[in-house]
Amino acid sequence: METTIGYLNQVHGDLLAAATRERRSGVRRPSRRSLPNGLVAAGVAVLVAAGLVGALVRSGGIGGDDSGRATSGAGSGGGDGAGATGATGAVEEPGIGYFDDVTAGPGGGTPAPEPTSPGNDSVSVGSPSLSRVIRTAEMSLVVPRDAFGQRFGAAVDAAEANGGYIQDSRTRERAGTLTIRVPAENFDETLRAVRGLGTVEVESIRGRDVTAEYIDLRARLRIGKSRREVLLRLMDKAVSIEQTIRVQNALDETQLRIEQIQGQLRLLDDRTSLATITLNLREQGVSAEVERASIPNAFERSAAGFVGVIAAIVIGLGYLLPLALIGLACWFVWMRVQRRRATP
Amino acid sequence: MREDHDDIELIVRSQDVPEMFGVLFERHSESMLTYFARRTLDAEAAAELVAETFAEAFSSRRRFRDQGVDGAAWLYGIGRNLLSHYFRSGAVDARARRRLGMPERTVNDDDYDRIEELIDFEAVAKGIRDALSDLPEDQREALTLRVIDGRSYREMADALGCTEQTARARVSRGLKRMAKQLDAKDSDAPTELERERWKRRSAT
Repeated sequence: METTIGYLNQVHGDLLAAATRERRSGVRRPSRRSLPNGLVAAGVAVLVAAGLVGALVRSGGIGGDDSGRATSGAGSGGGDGAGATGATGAVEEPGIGYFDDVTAGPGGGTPAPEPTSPGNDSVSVGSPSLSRVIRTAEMSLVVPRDAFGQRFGAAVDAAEANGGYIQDSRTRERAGTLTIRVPAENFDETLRAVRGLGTVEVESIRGRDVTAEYIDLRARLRIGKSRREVLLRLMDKAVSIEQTIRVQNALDETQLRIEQIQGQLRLLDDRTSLATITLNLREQGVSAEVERASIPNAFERSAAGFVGVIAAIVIGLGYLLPLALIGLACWFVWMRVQRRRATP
Repeated sequence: MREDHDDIELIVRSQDVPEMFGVLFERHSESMLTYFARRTLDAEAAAELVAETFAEAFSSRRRFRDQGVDGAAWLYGIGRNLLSHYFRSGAVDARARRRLGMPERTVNDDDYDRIEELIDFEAVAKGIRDALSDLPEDQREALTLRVIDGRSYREMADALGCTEQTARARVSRGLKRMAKQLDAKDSDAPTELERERWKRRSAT
């Protein structure tokens, strides 16, 4: 270097020495700002990957899902756990198993549970005898041109052939929505049948396990009934008007509670014994029904979307974390080996 | 062969061949020393600022992207940041040199003399004189009383027949104007406009 200033010559030498050290080490020294940038990029990449994995998992693409999304096996069946007291009518005899007096379905149009005992219940393959799962499915199908009417009719036929009925039906020009209720044991069969009616655009199957809730309600029902028995006995022994009124009040309350529980049980039984399939059909070339845009609707959807993305990321992180730890360990070992090699 | 490369090529190539950065130092260190010396009027601080500027530039050269802007402008951009840090804190930053493991160097007596030659006090004095003469009458008078004669603001107010506050304002405005003029006259460094242009380009 051609300068008469010694300081600059020294700094020139120092810089060259730093350059040589860097080249010898073979490791690109990260610049002061690029390290955080790299970390940020890595963080973003991990989050995106986690989101993708999470979305894949949620859509059923990877691994098992215990939430009851699987299409087979978890159905409780129409006669799941029905007691020995018969199929219909709110028989209030105490103490006959858990499911002693549950009526099946709202009104007379639904199939009655089979009179099986809880002990030898053999409904769905692999499901525990007491399990109660509410199964729902939503499917969007595109049918060929000019075939909407025929396919819509075929969907109704498929529902009826599987012992189900149409709960709700809505049609517009060459498109429509059907809400089908079918016995839980025919859920998969019905789905198979409607799937063949066109090209599946969207399909989502959900299962909500309400066994714990069901058992809890059953226990509360039993307690309520025992209490009612006691109160009835007390009523017989009441000698004064005041005693009679007090016991009567307590009895009324207990009766009301029992009826509420029975109502909830009937509802659960209906939901579990009959699965719900929402079927959207549209002809090819007809645009999917667009939800009427509204601000509350938009907020609701964006909030749901946000929660969905976060959920997907959390699920994805759960899947990726062990892999990331292994990767980090490998990287650490590799860096150490590199550093040892670089050290003269 | 080295001389064939322009500054941008040197910076880009030094990303793979670190030693190439030395050529950049040979090319610009002395003019940068002059640039810092004329601003700090302190030989030691100027020398340290040069070392730190190149150390910082060496550390961050991988972030440099060839967008057709002057490589020297990039160097001076780093230098200016360090200079303003020096003016704020009163000390030259040494983080980049420490990071690179560069030893602390001291400026010897010979270097002091040579750096002061670079400062060219006569030129600086002339610049100041010119800048002072370019000021409006009231500001020049106020600056002369305050800086050259060392009068207090109260005395200045009496001499100028104005309030202390007005005297302060004239000194402040005069100093700002002079600083701007002196800065514009320095041909070694990229102008404010060039620096802004470089910033905008690197941001895109």
